[in-house]
Amino acid sequence: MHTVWVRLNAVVFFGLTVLLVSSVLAALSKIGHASAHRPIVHKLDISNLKSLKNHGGVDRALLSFDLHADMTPAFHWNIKQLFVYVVATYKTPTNPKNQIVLWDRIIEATDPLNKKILDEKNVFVKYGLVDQGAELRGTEVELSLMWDHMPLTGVLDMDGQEAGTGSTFSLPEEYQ
Amino acid sequence: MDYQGQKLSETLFYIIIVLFGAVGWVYGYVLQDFAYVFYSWGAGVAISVALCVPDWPIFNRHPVKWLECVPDRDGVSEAEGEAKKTK
Repeated sequence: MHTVWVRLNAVVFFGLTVLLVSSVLAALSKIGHASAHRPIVHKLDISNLKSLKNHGGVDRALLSFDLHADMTPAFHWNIKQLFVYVVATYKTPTNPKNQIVLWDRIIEATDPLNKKILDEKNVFVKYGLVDQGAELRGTEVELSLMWDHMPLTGVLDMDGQEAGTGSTFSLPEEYQ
Repeated sequence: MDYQGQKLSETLFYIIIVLFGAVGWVYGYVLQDFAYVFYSWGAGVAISVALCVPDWPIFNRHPVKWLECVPDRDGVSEAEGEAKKTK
């Protein structure tokens, strides 16, 4: 503490330590928030199947869906952003469980309220529903919404609609 | 900065930074927005740098009292001896 540099170093690094402790305390203060405040998925249904074709040996379905979900309950002071995505789950003879991401979006904590409530019709998929093989014809597909809580301080936490609670639709028996 | 000044400076910035951090944290918790914690903390550090880093007069009120010169074997202190030599 005998020179300006020593004192400057002491002040700055003590400051950073206090900031670190504040961040950790903020994270701890929100343990249990995610399970008590879940986003509400009002609607996630297919609106139109555009095509089901086979390309290069793999099946691909293109579709659009309606989405209405209120993500606001998931936000708190230790959330930086939510990574929200729509997943198609189905079963085939080759693979007992397939999960394909069809669409995703990042919602930041600083975004306005209207961006935190997803309410869109006829959203076309960002990524096609592509199978590993050629087994999409006649398969039943469940659509569910999933989200990652990305904190300011702490571990990423994945959550989503319960398996089996999403809406389902069947793909046609023939390519179209 | 004398020793007591150093102690005062250190105590001051400990209190300032923790206080600004704590008040900011409570305010941020109530409003559920960490930005308040960050800005309050930033203000605390800035104030502490301005108040505690420069060598202000308040930190120099108790200067170290050095002892009187000790005379060497000839019975003449070194300072006196040096002064006599240059004359």
